[in-house]
Parts: sequence; C-alpha cells; structure tokens
Amino acid sequence: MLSAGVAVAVVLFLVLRGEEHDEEPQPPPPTATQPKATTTVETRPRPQLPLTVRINSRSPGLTRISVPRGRQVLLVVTGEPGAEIHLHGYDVLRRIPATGPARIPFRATIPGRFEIELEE
Amino acid sequence: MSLDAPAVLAHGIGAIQDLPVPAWLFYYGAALVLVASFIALGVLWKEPRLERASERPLPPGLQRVLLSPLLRVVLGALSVALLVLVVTAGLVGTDSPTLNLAPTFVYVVFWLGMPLLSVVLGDVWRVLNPWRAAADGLAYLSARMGGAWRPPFAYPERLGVWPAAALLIAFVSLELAYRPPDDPRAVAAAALVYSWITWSGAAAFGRRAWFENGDGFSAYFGLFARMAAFGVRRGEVVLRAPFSALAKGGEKAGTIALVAVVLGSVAFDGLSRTNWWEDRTHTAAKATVVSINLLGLLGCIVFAASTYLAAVALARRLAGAQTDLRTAFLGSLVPIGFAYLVAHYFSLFVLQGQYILPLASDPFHYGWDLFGTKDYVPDLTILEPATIWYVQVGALVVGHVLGLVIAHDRALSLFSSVRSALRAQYAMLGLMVLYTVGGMWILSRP
Repeated sequence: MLSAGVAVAVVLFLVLRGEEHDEEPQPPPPTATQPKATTTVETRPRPQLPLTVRINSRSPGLTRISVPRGRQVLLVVTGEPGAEIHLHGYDVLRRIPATGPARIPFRATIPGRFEIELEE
Repeated sequence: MSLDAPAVLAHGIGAIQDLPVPAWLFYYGAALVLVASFIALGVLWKEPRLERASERPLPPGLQRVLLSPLLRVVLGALSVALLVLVVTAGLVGTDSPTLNLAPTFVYVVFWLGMPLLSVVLGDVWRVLNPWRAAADGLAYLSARMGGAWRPPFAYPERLGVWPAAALLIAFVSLELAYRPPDDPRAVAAAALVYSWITWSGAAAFGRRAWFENGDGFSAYFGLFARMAAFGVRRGEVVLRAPFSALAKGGEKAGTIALVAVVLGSVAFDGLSRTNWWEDRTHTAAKATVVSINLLGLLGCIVFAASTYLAAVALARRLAGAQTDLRTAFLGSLVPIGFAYLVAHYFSLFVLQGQYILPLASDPFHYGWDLFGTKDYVPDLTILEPATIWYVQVGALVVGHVLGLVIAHDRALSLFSSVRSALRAQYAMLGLMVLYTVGGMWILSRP
C-alpha cells in the first residue's frame, strides 16, 4: 500500500503561451538603417531568477500554479522534517530536511498538469 | 496518520494530465460538428449500403496461418504467461504504482491498447484472451484424459450481455472511483477476483456461453472489433467494409449498458479531472471520495443510457414507427465511444506507455534488466499541447461523422420511406451532437 496520505496537493500548470527561453537571445538582425553603435551595448541580459514557488505542506489544500514553459522553477516546501515531496511527471522525490525547507529546482520543460504531493 | 487525510487526486494511472483544450478550438470543433450534421442530412445516401455491404474471404493461404491451432496455442500460452506475470508482479513486486509492472500494464497497455488493436485488426481478443486460452487448454487436457466436462447450467439467453456489463462497471469503478486505483496489490487482487468469476462462469455455463455473454473484456473489445475491416464468418476470416458490422443490428440484451459504460466512464474520467470536481472532493476522507466517485461514475453511465433511450423514443414518435427501436441505433454510438477513448487517453497511451520498456525489464523492481531496457528514460515532451488538442477535437469530429453515417444507414434499412428515416434521424442527430459537443466541452474545462 502507499503509505501516503496527502496533506497538500499542488497542481502545477504549465502553459504553452508565454513560452520563455533562457538561451541567449538572438541579437536583432543588422539592417541597413541601423546606426552604428558607438557605445558598448550589454548583450547579456540579467540572468533570470528562478520562479520561486513556496508551499507550506502543513496547511492542507489544493493550489494551482501556472508556470510559463521553459522557465526555471524553484519549489520551496516547508513542513514536517522527514516528509517526502513528490513532483509527478518530473518524478522528483525529496525529503524535507531537519534543517529547513526542501528545495526542488527544475526547468519547466514538460507541458501539462502535474501533482506535487506530500507523502508521509 | 489520521483517517480523514485527503485522498490522492490521481485517476487510473499517469503522471501528467493534459492541458485543457483552448476555448477557440472548442468553438471551432463544435461548429464543425453542427455543419457536418447538416451536410450529412442533405447528402447521405438514399438506401442502406453498410448493412448490405458484402464480405470477401481472405486468401486461403493466409486463412490457414491465421486460423492455425499452432498460432492459437502459442498466442494463448504467451497471454496466460503474461497474466501470471502481471498478477505475480502486483502481489510480490514493489508497492510503488509506477515501478511495478502491473498498474501500467493493466491500465495502459491492456485497457487502452486492446481497443486500438481491436479497431485495427478485429476481434483478436478472442485469441489473446488469457482466461479463454487457459479454459480451452484445460478443456483440451481433460478431454484427452477422457473426462469431458459438461456445464451443469444452460446460460439464460434473456440475460444477454448484462453479466459482462456488470463486470465492466466493476473494472471502471476500480480504475476511476477507487483510491488509489494504481496500487499494485489492488490491481492484482482485482485480476484474481476477475479470473475466479470468469472461470467459474465458464465452468457453470460453458466456455462459449460465458465468453460471449459474461466476460466483460470480451464484450467491450468485441464492440470495438465491429469497427474493423476484418471479421470471422462461419469459420472464415473475411474482409468487409469497415463499420459495416455496426450497421447490422441484432444486438443482445444489455448491449445498451456496454455502450453506456464506454461513454459514461470516459465522460466521468474527464469530469473528475476538472478543477470544479477536484476542488469539491480533495479534502474529503478517502471513503467519502470513493463513494462520491462511484455515484458520479454511475450517474454518467445512467446519463448516457437514458439520453440514448430518450432519443430513441423521440425517433420512434417522429417516424411513427411501430417497432421497438431501443437496440436499433446502438452501433452508431460505438465510433463515438472510441473517439472519446482516443480524445481522453491518446496522450496517456503515448506518454505513460513508454514506461512499459523499463518495466518489462524489471517488472518487480528487483533490479533486473531482462531486455536491457531497465534504464530507458521516457520522453514526456514528445507531444506538443497543440498536437494533443487537435487529436482530441479531430477524433471527436470524425467519431461524430461516423456515428451519423451508421445511424443513417440503420434508419434507411428500418423504415420503408426515406422520409420516415430522416425524421427518425433528427432525434439521433440531436443525441450525437449532445455527446460530441459535451465530450469536447469537458475536455476544454480547466
């Protein structure tokens, strides 16, 4: 039997629209009318911070979060130390450590809806 | 662990759920269904064609191979071995639903793969059915040893396929209402109970009677096999017009329940995945969720059956028919049922189906690598959401058109005048628009 009772289930909703790429953005194609730049333009964008999703597994409930596809996501899950968090689809299992919240970084590459379950 | 912990959301099996079909595609799909319906009424043929379609036997050489006892014995033995493997895995393998062979094999490979195989190749389940193969084998052995078994009871013909329908409802209840449905132990226990009922039924009423009327899977896959271009007639494998076997009528009692299970179970699966349903059930205790799910599932099945009966009653009035039409149009709902299956489970079949490779190598999760595929990592990104949406809406539109064609053909052969046939058709058309657009609407709910 699954030893699990699920105290919190978060459904992650990855949307197709607003697709984001973290790869180097393509510079605009040079055109004849473009004036020659004399100053150095910073071509590297500021590194995008991961989308941080905080979940408190002690408060039961069902929440849904939409994440643009391709985005780096950081799940931060607080709760009883030793409890196991299961991110379906990506199939990541992580225990909440005694020292603080479980941190699950992943890139949202798979489109669809996934459960994040707390398995005790 | 308190007893009132919320139940898991999972349905059947599968790590991913589809994103909802976008509203614009739903409107286009629904509009297409209506346009197709109007065109169909105007231009369809004026005399029954499918019903009178001819059948052609396959070449004798091919027949000999297809019907050879050797092929039957080999396939049957493989199938029995698979049943034993799946039940053993479910009982003694890991209790993880995703790392044990049993749940993925039963819910994805078998439950979704067999309808597809039946639509393409015809009633191959007749040969692949492990329960039938085992019963045949036992009967052969006991006859060789001089102890031919005589079934003590005659199957009551008026029961029709009702026992099969009841067993199917039990199976979809496990898949869609029970929590957790993908528990390997539960899957194995269910397979053992099913085996016991099936073999008891075959012993009591005779193999032929039971596998034609009482075996839920035979009845279910047999329904889809009637869409196929291949069939068996008087011991010969024949090539026929696809769908023509659905236009012949002569349904057994209880077939309406089979068709309603196909439509109702998939509709409930879709409904129970919506935010609306999840929000209302996720905090309830497990026993409550299972009860609510059961009510919802049975409600959907009853809804499918009662709307069909209402449409048939209306058709009878519109056409001024004297005959009972209750079973006359059931065949026309089979392609719509198959379209529901494709729309709902296409992505699950493609995505979750990949897990069968690692599971085949290590069915118990003991660390084996029988075929060298233990570490195969499924690619869950191979289907774009847009691809899934187009397949979903496309399947429903095509299923709708096929249903219309079959119902039209049935009406022409049942009524003496084209005028009465068309009038009867209005009611069936309304029903099919309800089923198709309703199915599409559920898929478009978040």
